[in-house]
Amino acid sequence: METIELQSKCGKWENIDWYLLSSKFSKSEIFYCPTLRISMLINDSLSESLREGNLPSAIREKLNKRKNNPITPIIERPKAFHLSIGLSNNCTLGCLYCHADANKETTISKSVVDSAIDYSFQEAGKTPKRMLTVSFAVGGEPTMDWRLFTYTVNKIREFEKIHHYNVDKVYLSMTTNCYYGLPKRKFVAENFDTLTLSIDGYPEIQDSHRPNRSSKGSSSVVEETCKYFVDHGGVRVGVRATVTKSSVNYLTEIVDYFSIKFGNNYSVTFEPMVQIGRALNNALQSPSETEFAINLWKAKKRGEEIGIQVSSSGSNIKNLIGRYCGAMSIPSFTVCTDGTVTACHRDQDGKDYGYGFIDELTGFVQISEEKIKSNILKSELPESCNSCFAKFHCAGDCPDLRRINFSRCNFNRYMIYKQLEELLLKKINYRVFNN
Amino acid sequence: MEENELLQLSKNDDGILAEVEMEFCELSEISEGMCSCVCISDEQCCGCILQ
Repeated sequence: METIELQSKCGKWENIDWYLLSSKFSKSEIFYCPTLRISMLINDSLSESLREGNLPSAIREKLNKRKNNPITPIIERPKAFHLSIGLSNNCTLGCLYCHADANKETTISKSVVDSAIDYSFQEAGKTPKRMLTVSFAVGGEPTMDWRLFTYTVNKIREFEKIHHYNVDKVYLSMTTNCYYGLPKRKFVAENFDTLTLSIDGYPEIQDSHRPNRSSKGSSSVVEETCKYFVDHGGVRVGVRATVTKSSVNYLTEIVDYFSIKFGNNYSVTFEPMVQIGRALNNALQSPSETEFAINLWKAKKRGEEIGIQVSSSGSNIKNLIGRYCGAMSIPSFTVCTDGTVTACHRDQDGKDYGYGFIDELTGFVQISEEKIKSNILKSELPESCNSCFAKFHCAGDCPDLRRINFSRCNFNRYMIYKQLEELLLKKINYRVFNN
Repeated sequence: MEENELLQLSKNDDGILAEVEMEFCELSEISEGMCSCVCISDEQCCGCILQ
């Protein structure tokens, strides 16, 4: 049985954390000092000294040269304004794992939409870049109530044209199920800047994970829509596939399939299914961390060969961060269908991170500073991460996943280790072939 | 080339076989203005952990 678990030893030198990383799946031992931005592949003798708690002079010399320029993981995010609107709690698909269990016939009222948009322009106009970003990602499929959807999008674009409250630029983004025809595709492509397209793989997988409400396959329509958006060229596209135990062994094949169907002008994000919402009551299972990590790495490599960036959320080798996201700390202005304002777009009824309310009759936006402060505390790096070498790449991972005890720690550490190892082996490869 | 062969070829007197200076994104590249929820880059709001 393959393992992705790593052995790591954490030490301190002049109050700076260093780590020795080793694994059963690799012969390389890695010394990593993230805040001094240095990583080294070392031999057994140096590893042995480090394991005994001694910092070898060869490594100390390298650190000495850098000790005056340590970097601090990013905690404070820019004061941007982000509006997320949940238009509906319903959906045209009946995905077996839907986190929101989207089958309720509730929609947001137009007066709450109007107030949310007006308030957001007002606040965005006060930010340094006078820019507003809007997403539609709370509860159900944004396009479900088409009249409400077009009303909202048109209103935002009209306000942008007249520079309402001096806002210079609006970016629209949406995660969508793609289960609609040409007129709707056209409107979406013409009005959105970025789209995340939910499709889980080739028809066998898509149709079993994401059937329509009559339990029929959705793949043919969804694939046509994906192709339309990718070919349109005016909108930036990401494809997002949820991975279950039954699809985890086919991630490389899924990347190949997408490339045949849609070309390669988009990125692919694979995310493991989380046992929440509808996923609590059906036969689908989450993949194990090991299966997911190993197959994601293979799919990532395949993506590199064919020009498709493959990734997953959780950790990022390019980021050194002290908080996973800005949702809690900025905070995100996420409006649920009943007017509740929450910080996280996974929180469709505002029960977990709600900090405000929009009154439907008066349009008054009520905000609780106390609740915002309490949400910020939830996004702080947990103490249990203190000795982990990946802590500044995942910042303790998504606070909402932590809340439901869904851990991706082994996966996050594996991905960071593999990327460090790859960078170092490339360096050797380059040296060998250039000497 | 296999990892084993590379490690053999990279033997070095001081025991450091390879060294990489890490490059991390600047503040603005990570999240400026874009979806504050689960962004992976400046330009792509993905809502990626929703399912």
